[in-house]
Amino acid sequence: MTDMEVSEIFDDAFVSVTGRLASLNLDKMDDGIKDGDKIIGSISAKGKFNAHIVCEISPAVYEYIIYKMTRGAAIPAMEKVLYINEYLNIVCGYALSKINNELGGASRLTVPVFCYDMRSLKKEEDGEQRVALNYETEKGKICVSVYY
Amino acid sequence: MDKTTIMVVDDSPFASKQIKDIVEENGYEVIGYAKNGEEGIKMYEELHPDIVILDIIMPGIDGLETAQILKKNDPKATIMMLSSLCDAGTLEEVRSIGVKYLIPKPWEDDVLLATLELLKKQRESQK
Repeated sequence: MTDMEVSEIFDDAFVSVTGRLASLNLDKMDDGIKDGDKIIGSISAKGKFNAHIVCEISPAVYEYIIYKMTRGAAIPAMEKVLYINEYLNIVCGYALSKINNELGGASRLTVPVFCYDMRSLKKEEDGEQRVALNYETEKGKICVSVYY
Repeated sequence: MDKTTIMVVDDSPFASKQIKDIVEENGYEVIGYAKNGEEGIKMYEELHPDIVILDIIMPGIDGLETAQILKKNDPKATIMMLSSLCDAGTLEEVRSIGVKYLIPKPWEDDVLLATLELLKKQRESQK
């Protein structure tokens, strides 16, 4: 698949699913999130399409997505990560379903992981392609890198 | 008339809570939640729910393997699968296990309810 195709599929997935689950509009921007406060999630696709997706989210966006998914119900801090994992799972599943249909083969997603330290998540490998999608929302930023 | 009983196997509290809210408003009873496949297999033996709603992507045994084990232990097990991954290959794999329905996440409530109604009728006709 070309960078353009991968980019369009993940862009459609993030925009559609974030709108549906969290009623947030995503507007494209050039810059990523600068170092500092951000929560980082990661999920991998394995099979015909091998990829590693890293999603950086401003804390306010993280809290807002969870707030909308719980419909405002208070939940324990430890449970929050399960909601944001589900968000990333749904977005990336939406994208991977399209990719699987395009490629005519099966790829599976791993269980997502969220943390505060990028170094533990991803080291770029030689020859790997990267697609970057950066978004601004009314609550903060979401930046996505797809390594494949 | 007894309510149709449902067991949900999903590691996501978001999905479990949404399912409980929508199905219980519509006359079903959720009698158990399991957070992974292993827990779901044990719980099925204890509760014998009418219908199992099963996620695919979970830690440990995934939903496809869980469905295979449930079907092996009880060929009459009535299962509906849920997943964000809903491509043609995954659907084929789900059907090869003997599960007819795969609902995409995020789901439409009316699709979920219509599918439950089909499964309920299917069970009743098998009695």
